[in-house]
Amino acid sequence: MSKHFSEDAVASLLVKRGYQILAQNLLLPTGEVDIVALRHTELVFVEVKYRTGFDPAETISKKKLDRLVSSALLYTAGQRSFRIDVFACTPQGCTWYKGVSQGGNCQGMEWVDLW
Amino acid sequence: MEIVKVWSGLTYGDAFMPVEMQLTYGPGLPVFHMVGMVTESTEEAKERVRYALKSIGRSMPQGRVVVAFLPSELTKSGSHFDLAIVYGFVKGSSDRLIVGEVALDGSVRTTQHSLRVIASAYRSGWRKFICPVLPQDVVGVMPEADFFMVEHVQQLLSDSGEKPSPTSSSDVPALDAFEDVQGFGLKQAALTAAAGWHHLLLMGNPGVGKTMVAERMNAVMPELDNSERLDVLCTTGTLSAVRPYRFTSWTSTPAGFFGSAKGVAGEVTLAHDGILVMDEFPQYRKDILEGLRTVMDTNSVISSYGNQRIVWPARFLLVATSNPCPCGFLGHPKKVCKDSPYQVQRYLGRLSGPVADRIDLHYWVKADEPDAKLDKPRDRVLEVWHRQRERWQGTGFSHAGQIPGDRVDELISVSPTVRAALENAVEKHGLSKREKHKIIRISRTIADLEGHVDITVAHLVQALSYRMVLPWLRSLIQ
Repeated sequence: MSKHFSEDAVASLLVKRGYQILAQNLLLPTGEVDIVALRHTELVFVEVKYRTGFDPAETISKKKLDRLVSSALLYTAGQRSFRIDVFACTPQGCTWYKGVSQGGNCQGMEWVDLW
Repeated sequence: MEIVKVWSGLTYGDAFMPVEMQLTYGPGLPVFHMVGMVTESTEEAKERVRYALKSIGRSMPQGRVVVAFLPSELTKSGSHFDLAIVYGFVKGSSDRLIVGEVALDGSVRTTQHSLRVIASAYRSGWRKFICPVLPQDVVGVMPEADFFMVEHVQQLLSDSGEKPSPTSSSDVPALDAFEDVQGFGLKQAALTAAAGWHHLLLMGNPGVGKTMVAERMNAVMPELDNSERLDVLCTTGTLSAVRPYRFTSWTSTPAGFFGSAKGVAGEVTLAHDGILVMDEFPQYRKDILEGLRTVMDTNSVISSYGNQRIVWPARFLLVATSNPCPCGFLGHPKKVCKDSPYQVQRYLGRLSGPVADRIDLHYWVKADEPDAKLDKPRDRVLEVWHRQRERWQGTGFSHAGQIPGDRVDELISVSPTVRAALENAVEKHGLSKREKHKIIRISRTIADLEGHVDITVAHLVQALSYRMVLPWLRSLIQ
């Protein structure tokens, strides 16, 4: 199994939902962005976490969210609006947190069957 | 967004403060927030609740869970909020008062604090509870309450399941026998103190058994009645048929003695409705002796800390013991006191301070006192209690020792012959007005103990002897 199997699975899910994948495992000075996707004019930065045994969303710290935001600002050079999504994947499936703010709130949650 | 409301509470001294808990959740990365001045012990509920829910195959709602404790301006502490949170997650809102600590395996436990919350809530009018399995005697003091007892959080889900019954009461601890006390006069003094709720000061040379008497006083005190038991449960969270008994050391600090505003009861409160023993009385710190004065006047302690103010009840029978002088041998039949008169005077000076003024009975304990058996001491004390309670019904006093000096003449009638004898003694010994009131109070109790309707001169003489210890000791150093 590939090292990035969960990220690949998420990427193919996004493609199925009509997103266009701009980059995967994008390395920036501020850290790595798992997926950069685009739908219509909306730019989405995606963080994928895979854990067995407990809820992977708990491992997303404030620091991680801050890093994601600075990566996104760097990528867009501050010229475009963007959204941050988190995929918390377990062997059973995946929770999709849409539009996560730096404080941890989000606009919507969706349970998706990834595998 | 749905908001679940459940009720729990916290205690303020022995007063009750209901706490409304609102549970809600929204979308977001998983967090479990508690708001409303929550201290460590309450905040730890997060982990207990999470695993307790896991034990019954449930999980926390996904997303951002917020539990708000209202009113939010009061500090919440204690682990008894767990059950309310679990109930809110699995069952939803409820208007019952929910109290109980939850373990990781889902079992529900009682803590001392949760018993205090239940008892004080009952006293302020709450009747419906969801709580851990309580002992039979605790249920017994709250006859009107409707308890829904749970042993395991699983039982919250199944309404039909068998209800657990109360566990058996705790055993009554065996008291040290009062008959072990040697000396008839000593026994009588102790009995008088217990019968009339007169504070007692036992003086004597080292090793004559002052402390031993103090330890055995509880054996002659009548058992607690139901409302007193509820009071004791409210303040201490423990319940026993025998009266509270606190043996304190002179190394106590004021916070430990009077309680702190952070919610910890002090010795005076733990001795509420029971006996407070102060061993080596003159050695106590000055701030404790001074502070005790207000406590004994108001029967309560007020402790303030920051924005918190707590009033604790503190009505106790003080039994103090003391040596007559720093070396201890003043007044000893054979040994000689090595202290200078100045040292003795200073030592005895601490015994005539404001607190000692509130002690009615003084007794000089001797090693070689003739002994005689007292018949059914406890029953006699109880009889006096009934008689005095009946006599002063409606005045707010139930014992002779509780009557303040300015009301003694009004509430205790003395015949002209006895009054003449009293005036005579006052003249002869140069007694103050306060001393006079003490003597009248003590004679009233002695008369009651012997079953007399009126105070006689014999009772007066005995009462007078209880006031002669300090003058006698002072005369020894002249």
